[in-house]
Amino acid sequence: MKKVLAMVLAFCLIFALCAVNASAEDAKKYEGRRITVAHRYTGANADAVRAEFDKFEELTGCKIDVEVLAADADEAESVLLIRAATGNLPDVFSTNVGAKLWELDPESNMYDLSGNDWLENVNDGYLQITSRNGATYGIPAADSTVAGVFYNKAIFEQLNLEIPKTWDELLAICEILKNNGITPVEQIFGLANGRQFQFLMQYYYVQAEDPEFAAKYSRNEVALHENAAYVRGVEKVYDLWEKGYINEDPLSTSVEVAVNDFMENKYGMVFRNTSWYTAVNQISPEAAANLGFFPMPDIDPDNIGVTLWMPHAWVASQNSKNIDVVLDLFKFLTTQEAIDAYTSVLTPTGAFLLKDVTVNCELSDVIREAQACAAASSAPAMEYSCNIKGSNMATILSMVGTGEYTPEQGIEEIEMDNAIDAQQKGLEGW
Amino acid sequence: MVKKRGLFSKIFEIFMVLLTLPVYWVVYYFVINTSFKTQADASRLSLKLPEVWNGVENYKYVLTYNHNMLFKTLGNSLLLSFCSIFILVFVSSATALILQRRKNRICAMSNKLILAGLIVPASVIPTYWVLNRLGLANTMPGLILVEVATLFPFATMMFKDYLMTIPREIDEAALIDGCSPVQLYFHIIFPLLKPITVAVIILRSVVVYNDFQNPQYYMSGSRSQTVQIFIYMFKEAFVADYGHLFAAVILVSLPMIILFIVLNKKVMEGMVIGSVKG
Amino acid sequence: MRRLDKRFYPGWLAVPGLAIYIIIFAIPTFVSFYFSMTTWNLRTATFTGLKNFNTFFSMTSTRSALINTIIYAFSTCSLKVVIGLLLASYICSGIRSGEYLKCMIFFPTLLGSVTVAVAFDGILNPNGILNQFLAKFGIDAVRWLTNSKYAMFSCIVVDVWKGLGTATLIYIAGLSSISKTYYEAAAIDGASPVQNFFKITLPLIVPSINTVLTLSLIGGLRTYEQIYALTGGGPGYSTEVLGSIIYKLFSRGSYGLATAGYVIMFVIVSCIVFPLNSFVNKKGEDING
Repeated sequence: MKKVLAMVLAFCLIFALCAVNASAEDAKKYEGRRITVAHRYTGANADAVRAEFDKFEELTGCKIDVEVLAADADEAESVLLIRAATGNLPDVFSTNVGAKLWELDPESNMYDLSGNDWLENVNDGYLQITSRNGATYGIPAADSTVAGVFYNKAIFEQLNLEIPKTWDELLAICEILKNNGITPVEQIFGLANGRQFQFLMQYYYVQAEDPEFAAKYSRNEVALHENAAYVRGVEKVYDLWEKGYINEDPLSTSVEVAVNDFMENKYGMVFRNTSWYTAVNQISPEAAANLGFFPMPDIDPDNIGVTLWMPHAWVASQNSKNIDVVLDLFKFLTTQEAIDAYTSVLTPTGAFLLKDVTVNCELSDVIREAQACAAASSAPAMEYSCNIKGSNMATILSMVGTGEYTPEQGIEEIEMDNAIDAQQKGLEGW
Repeated sequence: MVKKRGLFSKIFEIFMVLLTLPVYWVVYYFVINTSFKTQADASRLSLKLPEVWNGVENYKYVLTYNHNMLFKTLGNSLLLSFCSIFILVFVSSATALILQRRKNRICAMSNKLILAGLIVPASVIPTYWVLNRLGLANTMPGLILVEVATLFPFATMMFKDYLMTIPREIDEAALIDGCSPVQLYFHIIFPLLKPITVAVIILRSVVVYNDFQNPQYYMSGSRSQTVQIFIYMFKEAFVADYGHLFAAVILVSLPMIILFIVLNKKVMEGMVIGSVKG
Repeated sequence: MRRLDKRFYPGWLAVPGLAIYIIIFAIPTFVSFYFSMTTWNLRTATFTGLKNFNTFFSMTSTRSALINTIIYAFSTCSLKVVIGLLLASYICSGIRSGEYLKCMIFFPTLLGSVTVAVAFDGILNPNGILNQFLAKFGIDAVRWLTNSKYAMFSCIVVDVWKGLGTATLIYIAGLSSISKTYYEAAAIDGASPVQNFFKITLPLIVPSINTVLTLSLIGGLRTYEQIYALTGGGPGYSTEVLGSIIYKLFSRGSYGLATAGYVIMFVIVSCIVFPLNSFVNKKGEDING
């Protein structure tokens, strides 16, 4: 896994210059054909993906129908799961990679892409996490994201605050912010995914403490509370609430509210992934320029890192009757033209994990900072190596984050909730 | 029964009428008014008129969102409502005729089974499993069948109750005149059922159009999603963007608003007849 | 007569309807009892006995969901039964604005539950118009949907707002079928309107009360989408209901456990509603007759 990661990361900052031209003789060769693509992107991301499809339609004359799986990540995965189980997968669909990909039983559901020469355009590390037993199932659908702490640069400068190297230093900064009448941290618990970022980004430290943790936990050989870093992750969520460092009503705080509050300099920090930049930038580019990034620190000032999320993969269904069109679409999606179409709609916040592709738009400083952190030291999120996640994770974390559970109770609840999920999946050792 | 109304009762009536202002009109006004606002203006959630009238942009955005997804889902919703109600009316009235006119063990058992269906909730995942066995999972015909099956007990009971009021002598006269049983059903009985048929159509169309649970479970992210799923997705994607959200709310509710304005009396009558058994 | 029946009313006319109903509704209901005792991924099911039920009752979320479902169903139901009856009697008392009030009360029933939830999200938001209004009286902002003390209450109020119309209309139909002669006789005896209500209206409206009771109870026990769209089951588990738990388990792929949840819902609904409904059938066959 480490080697794979190194390859992915090495790629993150490399933007080569040569573009691949779509050959002219391909023009309109799929006139009258239709394929169906299902994905879970909404808003600007959906528009960006659609721009890629529009370009392909224009080039080949085929029509691409888009189905939206679900706006919520877990719901979208479940939709794929139930459609895989009943053999109703669309021609092309996006799915999370790693453990989620294997859960969909690629051998009987997905088309093996290996042997296509355009796969050489895809980052080798990414190919490795979407390949098994010599078969390759997916190509990157968008850009990677990095999770950490976004801070208000103007406020930090004004109060002479330094980037914290330990969690205690971060709490000290919170105290200063609080004494200056600024909410130290804005927790965005309005939707389920926002309740989990702060906790999930702790995984860098969890795997640093025990590189085999995810594998062992999958086999039920280690309990969550036995990993000190994992426990600290829950404690950190609780700390912010207990010390009064968070906004008054996190459960009603949506991304939109938080962006507005940021523009009004109401708070110092927020725990998110790099798509936060897109959210701010869409409403106010000036405010986005005021964003800074640092990794969430832990106990050791010399070991600081971020947690990384891979782009979802485009996968072809094994039963697709249009596999010729799909393969050409995939080929197109690994080219400069596709990326240009994507970036004309949406400024990327991470790497596309494609070779020979240049991002022809200005990347912001904060995204560069985040990418630099990822290149320095990072780990992919736990979901890539362990697929156990109970149905109430987001709720439990929001209850820890609003003081209804102590960290001990929180961990206990997560363990129980996860155990049910593992048992229902029929995993060995549970 | 002409009675002088006291001052108190007049004041109370005025009070009741005025009470509809905060309870209903403010809600509608708030939603409509906000749907014309820009995002920043809408996020203040006030009852003031829009600073900038942004309605055209909001509605255009919703209408074209995700490549005219609203139109596609609206089409699906209307198709779903039309087909399932069409099938429902015929199969349930035919079943009702047989069950009402014939008395034997099978009929009595079927009756009990249908009555139970009025009460017990539908099992979702096993239904999906059955649909899949039939090759209908995630398809529009599959969802139509689910809607028909869910509404079937209700509609059959309504038809059966009404058939009790149609005397058997009519059937017998028709049959003596040389009507075949099928003709009896189509030419004699079915026209007589018209009032209840209208009630079933109106009432159940509202139910199917507004159904959220069945499409959510049975269409699993498919292309044939309905407007209710559209509004749910839209809500997830635009959490606090009230200008766009409320524009979507109004557009999705529009068919029901039109139905209510055009068929006001019929809708309310249908609702009553249809709700009695349940 | 029987042979005639067979010729006049051929059984096959009933077959399409019954077939759809049995295949899509009845059979899945029966097999759910088996699948509730398995670990199931839709392809293969491993029999695990009553383990799923054990798990279901051991989950923190389901324990509060069971209580919430009961609270929600009974509160919405009793509010609709009482308020609906009062409004209907008032509307039927010969006031001039009856038709207008009827339309007003009825219209929300035509709206989808998600649309209603979205609209009320803007009203019950901490900065929403309700709190803006309360602020004029010096009342501090109330977190209607994100404070566990109020969240369930808010969901109940929204549901009553939306569902009151059906109850009121059923009552109006029941009231208008009561013969005027009763009231005329009472008027001769000099009965007050209040006496009229308790002595004449109430006893004669019992069948309608039962209908409203059964209808809204079944609805309240089964539904989840409006609550789910309003609060997502939160804060914590304070507005989680059986339906939303089942949906969450379904969306995590725990099909066996979700089906066990369904069986529990089936049992609860049956135990409460079947006795009630047979009562309705005995008492009120002739509501609209």
